[in-house]
Amino acid sequence: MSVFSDARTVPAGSTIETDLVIIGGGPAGITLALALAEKPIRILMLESGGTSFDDKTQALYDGTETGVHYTPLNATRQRYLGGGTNHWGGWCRPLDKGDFEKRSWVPHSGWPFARTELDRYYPRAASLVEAGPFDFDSNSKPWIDQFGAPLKLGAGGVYTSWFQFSKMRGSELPTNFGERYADDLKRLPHLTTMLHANVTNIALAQDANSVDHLDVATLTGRKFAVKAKHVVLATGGIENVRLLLASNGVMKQGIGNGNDLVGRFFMDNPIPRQTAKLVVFNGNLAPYYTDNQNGGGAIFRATLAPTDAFKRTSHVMGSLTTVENKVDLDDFGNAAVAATASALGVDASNAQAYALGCGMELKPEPDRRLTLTGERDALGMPRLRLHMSIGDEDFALYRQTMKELGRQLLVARTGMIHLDRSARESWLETLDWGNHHVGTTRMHNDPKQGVVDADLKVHGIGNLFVAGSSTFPTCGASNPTMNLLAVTLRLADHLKRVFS
Amino acid sequence: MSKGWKDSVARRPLLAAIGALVGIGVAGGALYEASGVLGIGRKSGAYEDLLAGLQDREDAAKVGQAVLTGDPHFHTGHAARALRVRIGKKTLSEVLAQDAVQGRIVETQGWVLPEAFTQLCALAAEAS
Ligand SMILES: Cc1cc2nc3c(=O)[nH]c(=O)nc-3n(C[C@H](O)[C@H](O)[C@H](O)COP(=O)(O)OP(=O)(O)OC[C@H]3O[C@@H](n4cnc5c(N)ncnc54)[C@H](O)[C@@H]3O)c2cc1C
Repeated sequence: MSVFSDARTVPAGSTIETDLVIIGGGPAGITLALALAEKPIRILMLESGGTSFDDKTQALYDGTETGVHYTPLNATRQRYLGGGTNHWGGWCRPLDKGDFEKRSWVPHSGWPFARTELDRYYPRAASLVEAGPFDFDSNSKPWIDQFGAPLKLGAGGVYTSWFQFSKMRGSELPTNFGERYADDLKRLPHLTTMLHANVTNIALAQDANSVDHLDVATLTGRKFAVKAKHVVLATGGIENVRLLLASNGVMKQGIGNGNDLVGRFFMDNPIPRQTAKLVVFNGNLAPYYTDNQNGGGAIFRATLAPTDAFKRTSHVMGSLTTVENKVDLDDFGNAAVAATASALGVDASNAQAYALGCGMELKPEPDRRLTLTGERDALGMPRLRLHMSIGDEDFALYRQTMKELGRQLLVARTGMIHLDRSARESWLETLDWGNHHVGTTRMHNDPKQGVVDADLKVHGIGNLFVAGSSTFPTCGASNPTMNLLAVTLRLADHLKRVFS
Repeated sequence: MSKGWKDSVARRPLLAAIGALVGIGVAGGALYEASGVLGIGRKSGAYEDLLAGLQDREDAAKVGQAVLTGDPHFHTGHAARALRVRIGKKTLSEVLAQDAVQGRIVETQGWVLPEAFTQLCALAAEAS
């Protein structure tokens, strides 16, 4: 097949039969389709949008937000082929080993498998986002020879780690999955990608143990059904919830929601700006701290991260601090730097201050949640409301990590830290969000604590799986996309076994 | 100079207090302290032995002013005694690095600083 199929041309009232349906053509759906397409499995990927932005389709994402300010629900996502990668930033970093562990100080933490389970999928995930070689934490990198050593820190809880970036072509945006993989999607013989196909209902069999069929609608008013042996829901961390809750024909509380978990535990990475100032006494900071650099086949940037050991002993959450831009200090700051450096026996006549920013990890919180409202979209589906929150403790824990960084700089006599924010209002002033939608169909082996099991199968439903970061029980501080691709590749392996 | 210091001195015989200070083996410092207790030359030179380690005294005094404002109960005399014990024969930079290694850090107007340094700064502010 050399073109995409178009739902607007499917005969109304007809039923399409296939082996596997993937709902959603974002990076998760596309990755799954590509990973399975060499197998003799008939796959149909249903994508709501076309190949470019369309107002009416995007309006299907309208919703409401309450609580702490959050990106409007129709702006935090993109509803056409490629999904969020039509406007993402391309920041990539694997989750830490500790992110997968049960952390005594983080209620509801603990994945059903360890990070080692994903190790074999990460290199492929990195290549799909077109990052460089999968090496994020060793300091034996070619770019260190090229650009100079990382900032010297005393022994302690914060270390220099690395982001890599999805490939940017000149000034263009990072890898856009819809464009980048369009030819592959069209070429694969067992795969059909159908555009303008909105799944509006996942219809369960009467015994509620399996999906019977999907109802599909187009904005031109056409309706038809799709029947498949297995279904993977990959519509993103917000829309996955909407489809599960709205599909309440057989299970009144929604699919997979017998324990009232669907939509709860919403997480994102808060991104406060100007959290602190870093002063480097000798003024020398390798350029990879402040700007993306090219080297060793990767686009990369340094970040200051707490070690798993520090998180464990200090009960802090994950965070990834970036050095943003040079700043001037006020008189008091200049005095503090001059006096401290001289007392430490260090020359600070060339000292330079930088503003820091960060991405933080939130604790899973059941009341930070998505629910359906009485409002309906153009296809008759109930809209969503997001209740967003962030606790004072979240800021306080990040501050603790920054204080540790300050301590380590003093130990090494290389610099100092100024903590810019303490009151909640001050943190909220510059607070942005990563637009990372995590946790709303959480993975747990116990159906009372999770919506999907370790194979991403919805508890109690034999043939329905969920892909994407909604399945992550905790979010870590790392950006989700490369991680959700690794988890999706693992799902692909599982489905290969299911179909063989 | 804080009120608490005078109160505590008043509760004990003055000579015993001086004797105790000498007894901890930091005789030079204790004499400075004693002169402080006795109200002799407190401003001009009470902590000179300690402040001599500060090369940038003017800036340190600015930091110290913030330390004193942020902690109205800051006890200069206690701080000076403790510092003399801590510094002993070490250099100031060694003591500050040791503070950082051992996690003895404090926040002054948002700056993360070694504890001993902030105490010295407060003495510098007192003395200025
Ligand atoms: C501004 C911004 C910047 C970002 N930057 C980064 C970054 O730097 N690094 C990072 O890791 N992540 C980043 N992200 C997050 C990233 O975009 C998501 O993690 C990723 O897109 C999620 O992939 P997904 O396939 O699970 O869902 P999505 O990308 O949301 O894809 C879901 C797909 O399903 C389709 N769909 C929805 N509903 C239906 C339906 N009912 N029927 C059929 N199809 C449907 C949608 O049209 C869409 O194509 C960013 C996001 C935003 C908004």
